[in-house]
Amino acid sequence: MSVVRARDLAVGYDGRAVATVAQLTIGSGDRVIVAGPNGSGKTTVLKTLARLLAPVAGTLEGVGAGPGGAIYVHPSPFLFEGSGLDNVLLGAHGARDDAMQALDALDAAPFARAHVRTMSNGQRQRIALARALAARPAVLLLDEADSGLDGDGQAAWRQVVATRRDIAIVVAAHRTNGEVPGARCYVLSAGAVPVLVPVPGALSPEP
Amino acid sequence: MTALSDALRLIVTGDADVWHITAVSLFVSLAALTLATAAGVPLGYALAHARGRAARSVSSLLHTLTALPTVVVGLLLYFTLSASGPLGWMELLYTRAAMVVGQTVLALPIVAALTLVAVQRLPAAAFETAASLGLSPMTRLVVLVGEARGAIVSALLLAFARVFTELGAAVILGGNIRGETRTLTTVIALEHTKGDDARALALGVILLAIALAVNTLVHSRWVRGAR
Repeated sequence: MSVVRARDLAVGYDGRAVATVAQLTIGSGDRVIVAGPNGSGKTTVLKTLARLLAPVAGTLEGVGAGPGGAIYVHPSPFLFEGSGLDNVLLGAHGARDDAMQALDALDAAPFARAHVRTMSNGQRQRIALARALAARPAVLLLDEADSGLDGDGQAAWRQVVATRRDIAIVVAAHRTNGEVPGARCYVLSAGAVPVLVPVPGALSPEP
Repeated sequence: MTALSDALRLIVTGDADVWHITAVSLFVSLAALTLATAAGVPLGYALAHARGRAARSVSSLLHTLTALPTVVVGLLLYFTLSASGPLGWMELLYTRAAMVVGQTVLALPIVAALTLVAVQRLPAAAFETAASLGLSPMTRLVVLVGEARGAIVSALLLAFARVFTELGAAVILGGNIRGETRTLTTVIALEHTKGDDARALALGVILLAIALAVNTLVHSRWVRGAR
């Protein structure tokens, strides 16, 4: 079952395309890497797939934004005023069990009650990922959001990627050899309006 | 100095009249500020999200209305609330309620216009995060207004300063009735016309002290600590 289907999708701002997606189908539990140099439109592609930006042209079908749908995580996540737990509860829409499970998954429970202003970047990143997980997404779109994780956070995150086969995970990265086992790789080709195309045979190594 | 010592004597001796006048001033201004906040914060928040020419017109109108002369607001509401006016049947003229209405009209544009600016200046990531998490409209309002609270609280302070120290609307709509609608500003004007400038100045000192105390208190507690 696919959660996102895009065909001839032009993405951009104010009706101007900055990149296009020839064809992309993301199935339930898939792992996908979207690679490309800085400024090639990775963020715009991810935000469009996450339904934060309206498509400029083409077809985009699948889940919408929000719980049970697509959740986008910024490269340097925005956390709302309050504790880490407050933030994760926002993602869980009040469901405390979901929030606690998500915090445990990211190994973030020990510092979750601290105010977000007192947290390190790595801790903030873990809270943001837990907040996204707590929303029980069908697809999680990470805009290099795993790059700022500290050692413990990375270990916990790899565990999530390896075990949560109920969630499709799309990661934007500079290069295709990111640390997402079993991921299909796509790259934004060079050009005035880059096109997202599959990288044949490029699979990240299995764990 | 005599004004200061007169003021101190008035406060220390617990002049019942002065206490009452001060209480009426605070009641009217705080009631107006509460109403203006309840309406103005959601209005500014909604306008911050609105696009198009209509939204731009409303927001520039709001900014213009922040400069409304208080006497003009007093006059316009006087015609509206007077016995022959469209809302004359409510018999509000020369009551504290009428003064609250007048000061609400003065405070609302400040609260709404500055909330609009405060919310617009939040980082795009704040809006995107709220949208991506699928927060309900009500939750979204609460968390985004919470993010902008430093600027919004200072807007509320500004609105309070405007209504607490204004004279025009209070005197026209309240009528300066002893024991009913006398406020610090209306009594200061009255004492001055009666030639009792010492008492007028003393009341001015009280007015200033309250304004200063409220600002200092709220500023240290809310504005400086918040982003």
